[in-house]
Amino acid sequence: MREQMMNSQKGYVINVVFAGFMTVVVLSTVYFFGRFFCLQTLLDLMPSDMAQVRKSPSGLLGDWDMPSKGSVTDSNTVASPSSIVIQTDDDIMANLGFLEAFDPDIRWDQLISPAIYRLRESRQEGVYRAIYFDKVLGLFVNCDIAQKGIQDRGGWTKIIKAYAGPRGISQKPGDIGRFGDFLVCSNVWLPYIVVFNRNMSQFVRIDFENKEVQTGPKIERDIVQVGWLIKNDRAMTSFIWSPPTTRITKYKTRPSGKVVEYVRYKSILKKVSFITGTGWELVLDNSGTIYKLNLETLELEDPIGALPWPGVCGSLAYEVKPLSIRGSYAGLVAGGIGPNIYRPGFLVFDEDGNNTGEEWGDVELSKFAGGPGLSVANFVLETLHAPILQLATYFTSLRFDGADGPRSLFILPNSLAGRKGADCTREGFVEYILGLWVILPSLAISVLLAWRIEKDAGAVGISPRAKFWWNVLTVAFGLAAYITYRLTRPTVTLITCANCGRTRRPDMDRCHQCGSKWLVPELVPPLWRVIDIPQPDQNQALSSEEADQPDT
Amino acid sequence: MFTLIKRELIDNIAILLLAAIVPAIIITILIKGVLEGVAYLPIGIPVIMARILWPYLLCGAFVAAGCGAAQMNDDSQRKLSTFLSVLATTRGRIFIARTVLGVLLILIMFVPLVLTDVILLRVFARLAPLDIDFLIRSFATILATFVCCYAIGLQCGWRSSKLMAILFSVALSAALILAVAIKGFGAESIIILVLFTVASLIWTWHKFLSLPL
Amino acid sequence: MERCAIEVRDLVKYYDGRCILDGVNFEVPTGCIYGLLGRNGAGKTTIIRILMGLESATRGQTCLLGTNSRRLGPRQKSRVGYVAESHQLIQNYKVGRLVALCKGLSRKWNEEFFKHLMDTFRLPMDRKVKELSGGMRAQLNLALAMAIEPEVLILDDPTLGLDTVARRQFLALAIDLIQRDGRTILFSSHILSDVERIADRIGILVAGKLVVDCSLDELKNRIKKLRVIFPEDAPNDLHMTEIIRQRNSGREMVITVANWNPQKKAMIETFKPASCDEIPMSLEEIFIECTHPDMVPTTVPFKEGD
Repeated sequence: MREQMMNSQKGYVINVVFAGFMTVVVLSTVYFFGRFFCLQTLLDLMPSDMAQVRKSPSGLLGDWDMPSKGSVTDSNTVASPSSIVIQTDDDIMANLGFLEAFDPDIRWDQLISPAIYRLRESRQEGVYRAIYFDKVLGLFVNCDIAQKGIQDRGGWTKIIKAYAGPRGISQKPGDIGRFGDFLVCSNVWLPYIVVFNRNMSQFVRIDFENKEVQTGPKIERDIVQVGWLIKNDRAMTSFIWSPPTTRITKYKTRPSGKVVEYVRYKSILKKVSFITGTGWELVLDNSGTIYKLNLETLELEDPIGALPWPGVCGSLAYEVKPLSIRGSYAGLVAGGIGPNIYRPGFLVFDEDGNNTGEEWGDVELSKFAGGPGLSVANFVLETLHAPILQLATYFTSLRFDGADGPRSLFILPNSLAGRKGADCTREGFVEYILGLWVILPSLAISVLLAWRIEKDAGAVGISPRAKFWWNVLTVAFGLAAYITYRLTRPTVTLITCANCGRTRRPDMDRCHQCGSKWLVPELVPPLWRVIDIPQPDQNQALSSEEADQPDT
Repeated sequence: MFTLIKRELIDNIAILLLAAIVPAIIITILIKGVLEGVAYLPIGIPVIMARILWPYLLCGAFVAAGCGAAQMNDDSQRKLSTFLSVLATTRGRIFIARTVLGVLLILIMFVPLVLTDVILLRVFARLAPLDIDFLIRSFATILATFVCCYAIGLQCGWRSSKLMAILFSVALSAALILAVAIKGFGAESIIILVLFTVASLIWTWHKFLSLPL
Repeated sequence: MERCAIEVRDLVKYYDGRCILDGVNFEVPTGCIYGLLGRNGAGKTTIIRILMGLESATRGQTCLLGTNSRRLGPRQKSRVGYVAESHQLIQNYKVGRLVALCKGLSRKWNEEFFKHLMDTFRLPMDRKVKELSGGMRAQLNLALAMAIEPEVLILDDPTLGLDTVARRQFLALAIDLIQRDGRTILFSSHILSDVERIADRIGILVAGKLVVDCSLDELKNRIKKLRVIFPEDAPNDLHMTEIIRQRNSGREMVITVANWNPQKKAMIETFKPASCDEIPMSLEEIFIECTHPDMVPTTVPFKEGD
């Protein structure tokens, strides 16, 4: 084989590796946008009632949702009970990474650092009150920022009022400890800051107004969020809560004297709000369980709910909405979208944390125009993806965060293979292995491409070892490997072998088809030679092939 | 080597000027936008600074790709390497001198943006912590994108038609930029871009060292 | 110093499925002037380009100053001067800038000699290369190649485009260079009178093979053209090998023979010719005989190992 490795084959492996990588990246990007187009079009065409999940009555208001009940209005007629609606957002571009630069936390026309936890304007005093975290000091800082004068553009001052650490509040940094890894409660309307100190596994309440820091007991939970429990809100329309309404008939007299009847719908309950009530906040741990945090004692109470999909990572998006009626906690709704973007769902929990209801969306793609076609197109694009990457997706889809799915290029946890792998993981081992059928179409395409490469490689004289590796790579990487092969294929013009009549490469000593030595019948040199080799050094040998030596 | 670098610089002064003009225009817009909003509370990154990053990345990436393609195509049309490679130098050195110009081109496009942002933020937004992480991720991704698109330009430039060379490199760059758009500013994009750059440069190097001149 | 400045071993080159060189072997000893000859498309420029590393061979290898052509470094290239057939210079540079570039890249530069050449050729420094005539470009190319005082000078039809006076000047320069110890020149040209004046060894390419590779004197000794008058009609077959060309006209036969020796002479005498006179040939005439389309065709079929 070595003697057949000619000039045109040097550096071949380098070319193949790098061309292959580039092809995989470019193809993956093309597939992504193909799938993106299919998905976006599907969502645009999907009837709204299919894209949303609705529960009515919500199950949280008890008698307030019953007809002929309701003593707070002037009518006993409940025209429509309360309802909860959650819907997949039809703008999936919102999941793409580049939007971070356009849709971050913007306030006062500025991209506010995540290290700033409070920012309030006090208009009477003309100052801004800010609480931020100083990484260098490891402390929370409470300060006032004021502008010197309205004419004094750019003249701002900052007055630091206090520093807060795990051990207290001081006007100077020092002797109050420092925070390392922590989480902050996202409810910005609390009069103080609640922090979960991960290093100490304790909640800490920092009250700058009263200059006190309180620490709670140790908590053996993997806390991931405190306050407003929300993730990837771009992927779904926020909860639409509709209170129960009553129908009121009113009458109006026109100038002409005619009496006209008209109907208004009025909410029955006025004091319904999506807050937890005073004195506590929601806490979410990594398993998806929701707890109540007592802001007074900084202790976690019993679980009051859970996310629809197991684990925080299992959801593409979620939002938890607690409900309070006239200041009392009435329950919560935990809704979200799983890895399958067509399947939103939510769970309803009462004030004691009991699951009182659930609703799941189920899109039937065959029931609207374009659904089947676009689904098939999406599946074809997934199938063209490298089989080895699909295999990796099948076995690892559960390890990926649900929110990463819409942005994945290589491993596709939201694809059919990913969802199948996730589903079959929860079943038995046999089902897990049998579930690999989803990869068979992709493998079939790869095998076909490998066969084509085998035929072509034979014609261009690629060595059997190289052919073997090309077969392996093509079965593993599919179309990407085939394109790489075409890009890196030796660009040697084949000629006809004078011995066997088949095509052969001119840069090889022997014909790779019949093994015959080199013949060039189109050139007809004369038989005579006039060669007079300059006297060689006795120790220097000439080349081994002396075919042109004349008869003298 | 210095002679080769000097030759590249003098021959491609127009490319360097183009690389300076396009960012200059965008930076002017940026400075104007920030100065107009200077009365804003100076604790964050002005929105215009965050939002101008993507237009800057797009313009700079296409300029880099086009410049790389133009450089390589110029060589193939004017047979510069044919002439130079018979002198006391090697194709490897000719290629390295070419990439030195590319590095200069990228720095001309990248450094003014960083300097402008740093100066503006130091002057106008210094009272509370900035989202430094966002800035670092963004700048690193932009730099990696410029380098990658330049490498793609070099790879696609050796063609008979300058227009086709530039179009091809811009098209391939667009695919890379889309990948960055999917992943956003961050480590994932940077890894893809760095690997792509290495692959592209090594492939181009190998091709340049072995193609007939 | 290397024994051979240039070595070519089993060189095969294909362009798009068409064979140009089919196993060419030759050496150019250090200090030799080698004239490489062949008809248009024979492969002379191809060999030179492969030697200079501008192209890669399909098979085989070439060495310049002991180094494989594919791995020539700046040190070896600084010892080689090259003048390409098409005088590939950077067209939109001014002459002065081009000179500065070559000077900057060279390890040795004889400024005095270069100035002398520029004065001799009367080349302007402030004009662009593309504004020069073909002949002036050739002269510039020569001057740049010679200014680095190369040990090996490779010239691919260097006098193409030069007028008679300029050609004579070039030859004088080449001879001047030869007289410096250890200089080697490989050049190809279609003006064989020039080759004959300065070359030590000659190589002739025919049908992808080097059919002649010997000194000029040896070539003239071994290839003979004879006019033979026979008592009757000249025979078609003299039962002699290595006949380059044979023309019969009645009793007269004009025959060109390679590797002329007493055995071949004896073979002719068996036919008892009335006369057998040698026709002296210049190099040009030898070349024409060797490359003429109606050379004696081969009748022995090809077999493996040829």
